[in-house]
Amino acid sequence: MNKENKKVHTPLFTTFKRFDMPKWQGILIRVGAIAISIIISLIIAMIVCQGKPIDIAKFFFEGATIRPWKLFLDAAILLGFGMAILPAFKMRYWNMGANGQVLVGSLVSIIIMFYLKDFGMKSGFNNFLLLVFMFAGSLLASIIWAVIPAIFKTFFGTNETLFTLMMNYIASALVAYVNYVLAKGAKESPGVINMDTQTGWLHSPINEYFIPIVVIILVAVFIHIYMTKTKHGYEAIVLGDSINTARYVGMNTKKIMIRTLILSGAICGIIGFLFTSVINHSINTTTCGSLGFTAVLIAWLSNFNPLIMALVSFALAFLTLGTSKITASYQLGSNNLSSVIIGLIFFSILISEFFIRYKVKINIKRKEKEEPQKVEKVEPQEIETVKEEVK
Amino acid sequence: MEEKRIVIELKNISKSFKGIQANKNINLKLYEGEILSILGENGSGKTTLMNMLSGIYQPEEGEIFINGELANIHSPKDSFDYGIGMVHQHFKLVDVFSAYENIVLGIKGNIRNAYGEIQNICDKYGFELDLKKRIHEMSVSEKQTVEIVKVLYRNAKILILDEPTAVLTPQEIDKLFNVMRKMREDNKSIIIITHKLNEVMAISDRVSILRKGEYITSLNTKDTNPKELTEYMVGKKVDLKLERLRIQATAPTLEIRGLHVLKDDKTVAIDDLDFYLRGGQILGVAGIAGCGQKEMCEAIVGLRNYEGSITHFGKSIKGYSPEKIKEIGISMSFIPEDRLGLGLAPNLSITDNLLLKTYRQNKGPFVDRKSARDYANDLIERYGVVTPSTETPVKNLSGGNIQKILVGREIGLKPNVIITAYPVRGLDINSSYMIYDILNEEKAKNTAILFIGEDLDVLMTFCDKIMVLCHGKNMGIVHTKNTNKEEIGLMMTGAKNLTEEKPGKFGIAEDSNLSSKEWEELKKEDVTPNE
Repeated sequence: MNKENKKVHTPLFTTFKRFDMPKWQGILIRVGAIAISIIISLIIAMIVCQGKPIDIAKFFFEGATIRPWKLFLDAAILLGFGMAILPAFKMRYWNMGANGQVLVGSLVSIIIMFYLKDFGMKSGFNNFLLLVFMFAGSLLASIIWAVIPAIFKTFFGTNETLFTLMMNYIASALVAYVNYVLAKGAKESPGVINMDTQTGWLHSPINEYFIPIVVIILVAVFIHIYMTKTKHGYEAIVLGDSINTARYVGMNTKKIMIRTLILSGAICGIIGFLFTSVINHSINTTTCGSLGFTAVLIAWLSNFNPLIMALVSFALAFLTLGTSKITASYQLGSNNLSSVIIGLIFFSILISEFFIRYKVKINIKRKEKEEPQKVEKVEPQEIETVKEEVK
Repeated sequence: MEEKRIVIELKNISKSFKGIQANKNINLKLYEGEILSILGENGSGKTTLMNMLSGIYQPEEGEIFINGELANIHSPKDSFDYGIGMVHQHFKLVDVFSAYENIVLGIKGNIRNAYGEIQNICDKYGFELDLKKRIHEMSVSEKQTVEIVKVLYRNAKILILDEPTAVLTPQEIDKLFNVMRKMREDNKSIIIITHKLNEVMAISDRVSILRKGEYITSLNTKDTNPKELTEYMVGKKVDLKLERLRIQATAPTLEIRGLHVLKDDKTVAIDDLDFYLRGGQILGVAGIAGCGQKEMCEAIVGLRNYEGSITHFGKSIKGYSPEKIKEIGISMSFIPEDRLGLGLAPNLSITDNLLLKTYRQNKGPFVDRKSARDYANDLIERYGVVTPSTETPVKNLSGGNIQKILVGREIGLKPNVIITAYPVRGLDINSSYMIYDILNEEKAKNTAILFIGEDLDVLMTFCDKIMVLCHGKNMGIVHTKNTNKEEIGLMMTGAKNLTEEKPGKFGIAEDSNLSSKEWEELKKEDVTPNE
């Protein structure tokens, strides 16, 4: 073919997948990205707060570290949410419903706590029994909430992303309704349940947050072993990688999917129970905030590695507490600064991931050949001449 | 033909994908008002060539002339502008739209009169089509009609039909051919891609033959015959240094009678199939792609429901789980077009992939990766797999190495029946021979082997017997030493059916493990297929 006449569509950027990047270089890029985003965050904070950078930094670290137990608790809860979605995500089952799953778990244990408060005394065996009931109820409710979309996916091929998202809304509507009933319509929320008797409250040794932190660390260790060492975890990973291969080697794909979602739901149930019995003793529609979605980001950013997930969770909790202190100190009134900064940091990490995985080549040299973005600007007459040339 | 105008002329067209030559120096002419068949085996480059005409691919070398002018086809739209319309093998329609909506989809300008115009086209060529019907409610044949009307409505002068008959019933094929003849009368040019000889003979004016990406020749249909075409299509015997081991075969290991299997879309995949496998014998399966091979394999290893009986050493294995079938020593490896999708998990390491079939064997909840890693090292060494380590994801390996791992894993299970489909698909000669050697070693151990292949030369030299499938039906089972490629080719295309010539002779072992009475009893149990 006549080379001159050949129309070559050269896009401005071409991306290639890269395989050759050494590990240290990848880490360096990530660290650099975070450093840059922190500097930008600091500048934004300075502008917004009209304060000295040294003060802002001081408030930031003070806010993050003044209550270390709270810091560890926040990190642990984030990690817990991450662990809840991890097995499903490894199976390429996009569970967006961790929020709803935790919420129903917490809700059921709230109901048990409320209606059985006379059964359980403040301490002693009966209170322990009540806690067991609450735990079992939470576990069961969360598992049911997680398994419903899985059943629909395995048997009817529904899309799990939308389904689990919808289940979140249902869960939060249920919470609103139960709160209305428990408060006997007087207020929007019944507030803290069993404030006076503290029945159904789980008291931790050392610190009030000790038990949740330890439990979630144990959960994380368990999930790590489950996914990397056990046959069940192996099956889930194979299923995620290639469902046809799983079928061809004789795996029961339906069973594996539902079993994995039971595990996901169970972890949500544990978190829900901790919310009710230790952390909040109350429930409202925003109890989970957007933790379920943040956990998705954490899991992705950490490449599903539990240890990195723990570090990222910790960093995120640190950031959140630090920025809320800045917000409070400068009386900004809302917590939006924190959202902006966290968003910035996530954004820069995502961009760095792109550059770690792909090499970008900019095609500027081929000016003489037609470029698609140029065509848009070409005048009609010019297009005519181009066509003639082609012929 | 001389008086006719040339509408398309291809000169020295070449195209390769990742170093594999799909088309090499192809020259082709299409005249106005003719039906040209393009004939060739699987992978002979027919579809690639047509995709260059329809703007999906661009040729690397060579020129395309349309109506005598050098044409630049860079996109399907360019192709439309030249009056070329292609009906792909896989329809490109919007399921929830009606036929009418699909036909006018993407047309710029006035479509106010479109409904009537489309109706006129249908009447003119004799299409039976309800324009208001939605695609998802349509049969395959109706969908195809929509595709054809779609290109006609866009004023296509040249139609390319990619294996249009593969999905149709004989009656629907007749209807399609009638429509095609009407279009020819209307001075349209049609290219039909097919590998069925009887259709070539029935519909086309001329036929062009491709083999392994190369253009062989063009013939006038009336001057040729199926035998000649088959010779051109499969080529002369290639001298392969493949060895056919001579081993005393054992009594039947696997016997299959009256097998009926459905495809996913509930159409018939395998129709009343009888055959058996003996230890120490390789039974080749020849047949064009998609004539039931995959469904047959899946039925045998318990992945698909079926009617009929399958016995293993005289014991019915119907209703066994895939796990159980694996345990009794039946192994299946199926290399699909993408090479990875069935049997291997691309992102997992070699070790993890080797574990796929054995991870359940050890006791306890944990996967035993340590011994798997030793096994991986052993396999890498034995078969010369080129890999940085045992923990490399298999997708990063080359095709040959991937297949060695798959075949090696299956053989590591020490099966007594190996079912292997396209084990050398996409491999170079050396890697292919490696796989053949491995299979021959297994044959020497008295393993029964079912070898589903694409290359007739290989089947002829490598297998002891060949079973030929055409549309899920057994066309006959022949000893390779008593047959030739032409005969196999005729059977593959359905032009020759030995089972009709000599009924009851094929696929029933004389020294069956079961008496005919026992077979009858098995048959009775079949009334309700297992879930």
